Amino acid sequence: MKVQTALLARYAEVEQQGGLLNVTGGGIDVFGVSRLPADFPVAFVLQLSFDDAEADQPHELAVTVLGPDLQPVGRRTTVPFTPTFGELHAEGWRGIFSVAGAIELTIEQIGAHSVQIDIDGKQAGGIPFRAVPADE
Amino acid sequence: MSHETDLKEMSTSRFNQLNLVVDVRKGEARVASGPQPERDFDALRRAQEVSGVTLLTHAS
Repeated sequence: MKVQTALLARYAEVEQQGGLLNVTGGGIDVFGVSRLPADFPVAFVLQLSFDDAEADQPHELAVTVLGPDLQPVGRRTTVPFTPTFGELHAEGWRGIFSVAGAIELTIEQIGAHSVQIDIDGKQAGGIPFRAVPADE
Repeated sequence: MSHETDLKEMSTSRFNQLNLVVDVRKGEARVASGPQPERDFDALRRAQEVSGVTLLTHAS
């Protein structure tokens, strides 16, 4: 299982029919904050690629936000999922499992952060971002 | 249907996608469906502004 795409965005969702992603303003990696702590939602996109052996098997996605000291900010959050190949899957292609929506973030310090993505207990990717003081 | 049941059903169904709200403050995730604020572009922006987030951009 590999993280093929991982983005923060202004808005993101997956179409229930067909699985296409609708993403607006993808690639956010700087947040200007006027006060701390800042609790807010931000849209995100993940595309996880899987192979034959990983299809139709239960897996666990875990999301953890790390602060400037590399310590978790908030709690590790897990989601079960079972990827499966679609009707139009071509032999030899890796499948894609798409996740989109919103992460309720807490920023407690100015500095570098990361949304760490673990799959089945192993670090599989991340989305780095920075919190900077906002001009009032 | 509870959010937990909803999430379990969605994540084990024959869909290859999830629309989620991941709350790392509570350590909880739930399926986002219907007219919820997190599926509304303007509501997301308003929630960010209320929290003092006035800039979202790309650094490099």
